[in-house]
Amino acid sequence: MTSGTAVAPNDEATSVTEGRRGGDLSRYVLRRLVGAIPLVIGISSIVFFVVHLAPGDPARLLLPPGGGDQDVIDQIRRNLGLDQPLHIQYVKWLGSFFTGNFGYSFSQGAPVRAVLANTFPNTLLLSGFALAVAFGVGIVVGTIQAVRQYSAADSILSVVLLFFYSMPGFWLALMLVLMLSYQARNIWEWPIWFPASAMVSSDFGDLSSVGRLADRLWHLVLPATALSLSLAAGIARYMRGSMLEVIRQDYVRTARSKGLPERLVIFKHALRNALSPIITMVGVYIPMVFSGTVIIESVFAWPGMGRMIFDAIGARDYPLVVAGTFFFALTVVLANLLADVLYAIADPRIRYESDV
Amino acid sequence: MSKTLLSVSDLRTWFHTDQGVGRAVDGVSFEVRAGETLGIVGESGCGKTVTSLSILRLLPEPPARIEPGSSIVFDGEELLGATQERMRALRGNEISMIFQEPMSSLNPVYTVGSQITEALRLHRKMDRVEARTEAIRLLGEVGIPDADRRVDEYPHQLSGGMRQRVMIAIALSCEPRLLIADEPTTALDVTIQAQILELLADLRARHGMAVLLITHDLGVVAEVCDRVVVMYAGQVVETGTVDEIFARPVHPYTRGLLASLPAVERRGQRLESIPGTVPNSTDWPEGCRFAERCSEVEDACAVQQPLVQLGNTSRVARCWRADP
Repeated sequence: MTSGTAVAPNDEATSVTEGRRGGDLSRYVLRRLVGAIPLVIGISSIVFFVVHLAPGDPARLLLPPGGGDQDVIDQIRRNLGLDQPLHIQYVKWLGSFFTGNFGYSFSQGAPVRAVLANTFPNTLLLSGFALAVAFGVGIVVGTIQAVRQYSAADSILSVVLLFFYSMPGFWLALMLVLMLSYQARNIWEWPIWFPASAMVSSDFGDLSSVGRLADRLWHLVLPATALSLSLAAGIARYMRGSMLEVIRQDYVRTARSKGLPERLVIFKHALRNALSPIITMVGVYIPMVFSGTVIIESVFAWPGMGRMIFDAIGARDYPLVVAGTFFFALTVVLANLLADVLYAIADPRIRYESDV
Repeated sequence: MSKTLLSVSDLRTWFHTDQGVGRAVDGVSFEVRAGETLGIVGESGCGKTVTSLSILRLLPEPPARIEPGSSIVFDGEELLGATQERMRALRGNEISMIFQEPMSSLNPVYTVGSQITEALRLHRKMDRVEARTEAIRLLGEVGIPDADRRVDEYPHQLSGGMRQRVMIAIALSCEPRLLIADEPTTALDVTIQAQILELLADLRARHGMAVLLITHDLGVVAEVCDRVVVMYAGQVVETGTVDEIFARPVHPYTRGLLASLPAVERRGQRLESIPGTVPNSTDWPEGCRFAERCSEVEDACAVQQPLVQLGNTSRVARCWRADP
């Protein structure tokens, strides 16, 4: 502060804050990540014990209904390590957790790590796409509504958004399959329909690279829509409110008084301020989308982690369920961290004043 | 007498809301001559801010509407019929504006420099480097030390007075011919008020622009204005030069405002005040709008009175007792 005061010739020239230039963001991120380790292990441990409380025997579930005598079942239990006391199983699981193996999946007959490596990228693709669509559509629609407040477009969009916001994801998914896949293709014979399952067409290998990209996107349409629509509706709702508040601010009037075109006033001066509350929602919405994949991937036969967990629960595949949960917990932690970092990037007041 | 730069006549800016029609500005006329400082004075709610925003057409329409018959002529050009595009070319370029709240008038997420260069690049077609150099020069001109460092700071790193200086730098950046200053010092400490007023007077002299100063503070008017328009309840009640108004106020409202100024010779006495409050703009009283607060009310006041021209001067007052 001393430099500012010394230079000031005649007046109030001292700044309110000298501003710590570029707070050490990476150290902050590291500190948050280290702090999250016990949390994530704790959550996984709780899930470990809770799934073991669930009724059903994984060994029996591996066999056909009614099949297998007691000797076979006992043998399977021994192979899977299920014959040992729970606390021993827990210590073993914890060991596998720290080596990064996450144990051995009963139902898939493969190390959990391999199962995750196969499914996680698919989930990341679907969720990432859905999130991008949700935020993109939500922000644009909310901004249009705010700028045209009380217009017919605003009212119609509000009703449409409420409709999708209120709709359960699984039902929307089924309706999309029914209308845009089955009916469109077989009954109405529309030129445009979308695949209801799988990630790529069977002839994927024969396609050119552009064709492959198009094929992937084509398969993404329905699951990503089902996953993102209600989210987009929620984001648009927030965005509208946030934008309405911001466009009444003095600095927006200042921007207009400079003679800036309305496009710049809204998309440069207002939008960036209006995004701040939306950014905080990143921390809530990313985990929401990831957990949404459990249902949506099952409906669309999408070979991702969500469907894997769904199946693993049915099969009482304890290591897989716990590992999946661990990943979801990790998502929550990372999403919140991402939200905080984005917030600091978007708003210089946070960047300079907090300990970020 | 220098030529008329801005001529506002019979300006009526009404707000059409569910609660009724608020006639915030109701038949206001005045003119600003090139290079002069005109003060518009009045209490909160008298319509002075709406008047200033109407000139640049910065009011949200709806609910605001500038009624037919109003006219705002800037340098021979009628602004009320002008296209949005034409208005944008004038804003920040020929006519610029500074506002009451320096704390909220700057965008918190952009640096001071980027907010100054915007107008320069838009109106004066400067490239990035030129605009930055000019922004630093402007910051220096408005009295910000360390301008080459401050240019990269965000508004929250500056004090209120500094922010108002930045606003002034933005307003000045394209050498406007008219600067509208809406209560530029109201939100600031008294010492900083004086500095900002001094700066405005100094810059006006140097750049030869006209200033339309909106204020409720007659002390400010006395210090920097050439002429004064006194507004009450959406109307002009009196106009004249600063000397005339202070020496010989005609309208009882102007006299009331002057009497409520603290003065050294009245030290120790209670401050005068005008009883009552400004009526609501959706429901102006019939006849003289000041009648119910006026100490000199007479029968004729029940009828709306015209503006009376005083003698051979340019002075006008809206009062029956203002004998020519």
